[in-house]
Amino acid sequence: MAELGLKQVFLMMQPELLRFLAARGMNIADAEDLAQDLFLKLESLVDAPIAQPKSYLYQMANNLLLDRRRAELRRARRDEAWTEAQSGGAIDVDERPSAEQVLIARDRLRQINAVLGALPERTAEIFRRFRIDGVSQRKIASDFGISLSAVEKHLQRAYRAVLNAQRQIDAESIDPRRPSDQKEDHVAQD
Amino acid sequence: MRADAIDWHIRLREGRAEDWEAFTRWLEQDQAHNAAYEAVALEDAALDEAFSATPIVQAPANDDEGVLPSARRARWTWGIGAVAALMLVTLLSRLMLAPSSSLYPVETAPGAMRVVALPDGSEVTLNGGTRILLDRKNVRYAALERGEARFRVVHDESNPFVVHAGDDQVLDVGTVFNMVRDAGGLIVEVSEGAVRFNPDRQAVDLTAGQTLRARNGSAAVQISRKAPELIGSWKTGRLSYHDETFATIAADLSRSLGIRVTASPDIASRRFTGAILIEQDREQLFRRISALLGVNATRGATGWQLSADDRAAR
Repeated sequence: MAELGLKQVFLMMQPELLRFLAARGMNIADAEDLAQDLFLKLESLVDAPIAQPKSYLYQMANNLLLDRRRAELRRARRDEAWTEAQSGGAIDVDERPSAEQVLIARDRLRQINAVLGALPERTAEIFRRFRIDGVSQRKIASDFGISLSAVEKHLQRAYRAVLNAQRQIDAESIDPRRPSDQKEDHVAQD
Repeated sequence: MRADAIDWHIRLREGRAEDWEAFTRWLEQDQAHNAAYEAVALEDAALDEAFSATPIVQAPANDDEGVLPSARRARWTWGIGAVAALMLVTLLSRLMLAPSSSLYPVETAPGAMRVVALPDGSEVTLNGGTRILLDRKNVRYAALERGEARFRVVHDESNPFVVHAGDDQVLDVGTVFNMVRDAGGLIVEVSEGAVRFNPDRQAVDLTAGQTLRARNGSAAVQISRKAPELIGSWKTGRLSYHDETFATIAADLSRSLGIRVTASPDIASRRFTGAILIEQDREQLFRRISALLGVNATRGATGWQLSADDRAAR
């Protein structure tokens, strides 16, 4: 029943969603294609009551858009022939990260934890609870006995630090002059 | 502007419709806003890869040690066998004592499968649409919130593994067993070893080849037999059955595929012996099911419906 409700909500808010996707930089053809994709996915949802259907659909649309962007980026990187990372995409049954992916991810995690370690403990803790444990901001606020806006400030500070570090990592990882990787030398000679 | 983009990103994780609408208007003000936001969103998405693809084997250090931040800094060691690594769960240790729960969720999307390795060597495999809770401070604990999970538990008599499902508990010393928790109740099936169901109440012992069905709101349980090799067959991607009802098969298909599959009432109690390979091509899968079970498989708005095949020869 929940899923029929979602479909109705979707149809009602379709113009709104298309406007959102346009604001997110999609041309109308791609946006309509994504909306169609989203609609089909609604059919596969198993019974689960959705408290806020509109925001759920916005979230889904945004996630689908991000998935597409990431797929495009991966494709672009592969074309440059500098990485042998296996393609992501939705792998339903068997998700085995390649050895290289694991090493890269391990590295990232180490760096992220270094960044978090440099923050005030409470800020790092709030970030972990929100981002990793998925605890709501409201619950975090009540657990710590602080206001919602205080939680927001901690999160903003932590995210800024962590995402800036991420950006750094991403920039370094596509630098063709990394000495440790043989393959990249070929690209650099281009 | 990047700071604004980050603020939006945080707010939208729990955003209501009004937040998304306001976000749309912010994006429309300037193309640079979208560029900034997109960069942030992609960077955050990369965090997921870091958090979920890394094997961590060591359990967190004792949180009570020391007072200085450096003494309480997170420590972990890396597991081995990265190439053969399955999807493992990240166990980040906590930096400070806080009034927090040490429980954390692991979840699968509908139709997906995921294997979690616990620090003691035990292993939990989650079927689609499943949610379990694990405990950072207690590796011999799990709670099955919904869905289906298969447990392979390392033997330790002094420290039994306990799986909670609502008010029920399954206690296990070293065993392989399958559990399903859905709206109706709980099913526990043992393929190796033995478990004790609700040690403080019914205290039913189950050994390999036994299954237990408990319904919500009733203390009575139903025990039956099932060949061990058929238990938890979903993990292999092939559902194996001996004399199983179509109703159960439909429920199993729902979990493995992540879509609703129902058997109409007039065929629900028919039985089937055989195996169904879960293939990616749904049309093909259901044509095969149709032939194997001698039913009609029709795709509707809410999923697939299995019904009597009127054309079946007498």
